[in-house]
Amino acid sequence: MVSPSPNHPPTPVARPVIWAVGGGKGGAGKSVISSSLGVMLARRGKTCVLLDADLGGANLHTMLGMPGPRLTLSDFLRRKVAKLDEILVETPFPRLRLASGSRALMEMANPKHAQKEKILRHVQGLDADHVILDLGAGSSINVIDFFLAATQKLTVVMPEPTAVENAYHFLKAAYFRRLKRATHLPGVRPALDRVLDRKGEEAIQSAKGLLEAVKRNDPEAGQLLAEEACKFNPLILINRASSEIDQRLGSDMKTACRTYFDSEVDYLGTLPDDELVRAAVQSRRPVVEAFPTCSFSMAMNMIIDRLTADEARDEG
Amino acid sequence: MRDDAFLAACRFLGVPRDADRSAVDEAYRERRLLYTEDNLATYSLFSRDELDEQMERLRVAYRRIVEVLDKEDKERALLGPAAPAAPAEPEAPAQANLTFDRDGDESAGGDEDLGAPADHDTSSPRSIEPGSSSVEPGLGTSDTRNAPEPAAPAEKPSRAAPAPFEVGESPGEYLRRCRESQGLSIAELATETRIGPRHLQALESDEFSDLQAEVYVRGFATTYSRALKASPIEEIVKAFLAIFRSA
Repeated sequence: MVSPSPNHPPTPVARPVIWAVGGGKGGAGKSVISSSLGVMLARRGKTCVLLDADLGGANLHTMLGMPGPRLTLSDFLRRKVAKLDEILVETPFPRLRLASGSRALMEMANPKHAQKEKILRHVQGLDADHVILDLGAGSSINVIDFFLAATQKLTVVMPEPTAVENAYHFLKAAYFRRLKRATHLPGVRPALDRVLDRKGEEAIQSAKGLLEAVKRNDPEAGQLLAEEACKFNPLILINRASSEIDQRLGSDMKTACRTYFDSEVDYLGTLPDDELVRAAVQSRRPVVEAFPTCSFSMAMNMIIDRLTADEARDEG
Repeated sequence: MRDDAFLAACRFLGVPRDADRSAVDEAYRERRLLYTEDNLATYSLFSRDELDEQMERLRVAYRRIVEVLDKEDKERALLGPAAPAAPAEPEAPAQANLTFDRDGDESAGGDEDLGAPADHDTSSPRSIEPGSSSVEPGLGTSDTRNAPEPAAPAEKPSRAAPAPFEVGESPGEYLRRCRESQGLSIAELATETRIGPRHLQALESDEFSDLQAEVYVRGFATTYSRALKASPIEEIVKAFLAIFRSA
């Protein structure tokens, strides 16, 4: 959809609700889950934008059965177009549009801070009910900053040791990034710097250790920082679960994270390992559209119920 | 006394403040499994020392709750049989698929006062037995006690709990005996535990060629033992892990 007045963006009535889908490990199912969320939200009557924020290896268009769009995020970042909504393309699904990163150049995989801020600013100005950010793999600052910008921060984890390890690495990186960004609060920056200078990297090995050290140095700044830490509220979503142990993993991870981070980490749900997901990806169709009653799609439905109920409650 | 330390202990264990003894035991059993060194959900988040610390906090919290419950039981007994029972909350913390309990959920915070730990040996943090009385003698000499896993709660009354596992015997053989004595097939248990029949068969043969990490051996062995009401689960798991490590 091309805006008639690209230089003067109209002020939207309400900002879109941003959901981010991240989680560290490649192949965990982030794109399948993002595209499913988009298709299902649109089917529920919501206007929705899927933003392929996997800037180095975007592939959401393929998941939706579309050719690579002509304009992508790289055109936006290189100022070929002035506004993000100029690169949005309609998808085969009514009310769902896509912003692709598919032809983003390699250097775009690591946008500068200002570029990232620009994308986020424009995302918040999009005329849509929801924006879903499909994040790339890894725990780089760029991925983390998109993740932290979202209202609902989904962390996708497969039930296997390497994936869980990566997810924790991702969550720790996000947690410390969040604390670091709290340095605008009074007294926090010098208190943090004092602790970090003294103990170096060692101090940030443990979330609790860092907070306690800051509190000892400066109780007031420590309190402010602790309050910020409490607001760290990612949602753990287990994907490709098959055994009973897998079913328990999300709940166990939530308990472990709440102890480790002392914050509002939550368990969103578990998606089953369903061979129809692979079949749908092979045929380049969203699984929730190709097989709406398969076990994966049914579980996705419950996930969306939870996410939207949560938002309705927050609004109410 | 149901003081702040008691409430903090309930929060840490993830049980409601009016949980009954069996719910507390079950929660303690579950949480202990969470902080074992090869649990998939914790091993890459906490250091070994941090896991030990959590296990110790858990033990202190459990002991605190049990002391209060035991004391209340005694007081009720003194009042006579007509005294009303304490309100009981039969549910252990929900572990169901798709839990989303942002409200009213337990908070496992790091700074709660769980009461002062007694001066016993912290190197054996699993030394409290769920189901035992907190006021029994020997509580402070925990290092001399093993940590037998209590029998699983009776989920299906039709199945009797089998004879306990004896250290030294083959854990796979023991589980097979448990299964056969209850007239159950591998297929039935595969459905119940959601563990593939191939893996159950492998467990019963003390073989793990398909299982590449200890977390799976521990997880499968725990789940299978629980389904068969086999006990003590920790000893069975330990025996499986010993075989796995020596393979």
